[in-house]
Amino acid sequence: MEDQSPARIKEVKKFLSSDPSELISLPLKVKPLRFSKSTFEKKIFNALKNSKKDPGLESKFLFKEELRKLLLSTNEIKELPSAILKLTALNSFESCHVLVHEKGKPVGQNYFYNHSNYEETRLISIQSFNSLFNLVKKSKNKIFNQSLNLKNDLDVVGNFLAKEIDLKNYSVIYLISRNSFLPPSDEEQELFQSLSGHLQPLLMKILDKEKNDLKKEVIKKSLENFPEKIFVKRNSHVLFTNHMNEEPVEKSHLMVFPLDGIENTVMELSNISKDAISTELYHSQRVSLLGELLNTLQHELSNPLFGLNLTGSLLAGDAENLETKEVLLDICLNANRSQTIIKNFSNLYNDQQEYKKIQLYKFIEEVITLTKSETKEIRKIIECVGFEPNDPIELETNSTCLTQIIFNLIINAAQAIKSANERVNKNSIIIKLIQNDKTVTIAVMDDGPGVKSEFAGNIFEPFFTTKDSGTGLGLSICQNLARQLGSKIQFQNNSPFAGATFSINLPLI
Amino acid sequence: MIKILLIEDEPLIQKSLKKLLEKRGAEVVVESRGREAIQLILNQKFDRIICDLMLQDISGFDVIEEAKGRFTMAEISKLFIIITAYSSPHVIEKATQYGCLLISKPFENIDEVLTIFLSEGAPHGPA
Repeated sequence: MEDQSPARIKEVKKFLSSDPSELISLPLKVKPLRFSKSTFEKKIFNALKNSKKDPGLESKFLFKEELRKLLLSTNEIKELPSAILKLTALNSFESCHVLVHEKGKPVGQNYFYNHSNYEETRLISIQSFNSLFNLVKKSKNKIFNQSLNLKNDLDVVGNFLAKEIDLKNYSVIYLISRNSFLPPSDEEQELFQSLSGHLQPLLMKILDKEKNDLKKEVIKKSLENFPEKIFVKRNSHVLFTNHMNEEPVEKSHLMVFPLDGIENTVMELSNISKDAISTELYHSQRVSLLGELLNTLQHELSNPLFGLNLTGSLLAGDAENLETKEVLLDICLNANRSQTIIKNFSNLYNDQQEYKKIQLYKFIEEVITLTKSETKEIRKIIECVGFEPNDPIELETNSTCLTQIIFNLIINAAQAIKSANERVNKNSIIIKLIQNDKTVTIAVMDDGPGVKSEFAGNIFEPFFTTKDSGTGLGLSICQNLARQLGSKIQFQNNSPFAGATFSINLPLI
Repeated sequence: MIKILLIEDEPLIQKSLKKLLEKRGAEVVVESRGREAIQLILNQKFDRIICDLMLQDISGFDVIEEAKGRFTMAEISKLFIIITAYSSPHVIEKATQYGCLLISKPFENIDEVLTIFLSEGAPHGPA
């Protein structure tokens, strides 16, 4: 499960970064999208009304009716060639091509139909498409013949009629041929050309719909197969979910992401597998933010601090007054110290995947420095069992993870002590480092109130907290990190004494 | 006398390095802006150019890129020494492409670094 989590977090982030309107327009069930007839019909009639051609009332009416049928019944682009050939006025033609190129794509599609009911869809290279498109565009009468160098892409014999349609996102060419050298009549040419005005809105609808359907289908599939429950809601009304028939999830197990730019609409992500995906999401965001911050800080401070140090030592070398010299050397010393502190901080949060050797005692001291502001006035004692502070006890571990764990445990201990608020206890945090045969145990002990027995089973669960302002994620993050290090955080109350002890066991080198 | 151009926008570092180098007998011209530095490089003769990467207007690499108008790559790799507080792998790789020596700030050993600055043919490659 763990291996998949980062990928899943990435997926969620991707959903959130995609256009939010796509999320809310996801249909609950798959049903084919149909454009509404009324507006569509109006468009057709308007187009026909404005038509200036008058090739006799009857044929005009027939053409109109047929065209109306064609426009209403065509739902897919590959139906178009046969639909065009079925128009009575163009019935004497043998074959029809519709070539479509989505702008920006490396290939186009070539849809073909002939009167022997032969249907075919092929790819056409963008070079061929463009040369044909430009050729058709430049031509006035739109009559061509096969002598053009297009044999590989088009199966036409003799003369053919072709017309181009330029849409916002697509270029389209439609082309009919009689497969003979008989030239088309003026009437046929006129009808053929007038077709483009009617086909344009149809093509726009169909092509955009096909593209959107595909995009929606991809998003929908990935949301449906997402391992956690997902709800897209507007004003608490479910617009989409990947778990239709199940009970709603408890509020406390939900992560809610507002969808930018769409009012009252949110995407909720539940944590059904108990694999704390939301915890990890929260945590990875926090660590990367902190890492970035420390990195920037280190670089921004490093230059001026180096300048201070350099100038200080230079002036100290020149100073004749002993007192001035000492002050200048103090400035150098402090600039150096600041440099080291900020460097250590960013080292603690470096590349998260990296395993490196750490000196245990020194490492704990550094982590304690990090907790200083949070644990003011609480004594912190490092006790070594089985070795001396100066012994080089080394671990090979992910220092970023381990820092987080120990940091959190110390902060928790400090908060426990503060919450007890009694003068009786000694107010101290003891960090016990116990060297065993091939492992070392790091235990953080406090003398606060301890963990109540009824909560003992829940404290590592995400979102479980007894603090007013807590997120309930601290310990669950720690447990996840410990798992990444191949270990586990254990806890016990120090009864009969006050407080609790949290510990982690790690292998020595 | 060795003539050095020092391109560095942190005033304290600029002043101190200038003074330290002058103490050792170098003639030092300082400049904190990249564009002005390019003009100096194209119009004057220097024996060594020490260049910070993070300048206010442009990056040190931009300065080196402009210097190509006057010098060959081989000359650039000997002439320029890059100093930076941002020695990420990406920066090191880029410095390697120019064949320039790269020294991270803060300097661990100032005397050693000054000796390198004043040496005739600086050792190649990032340090």
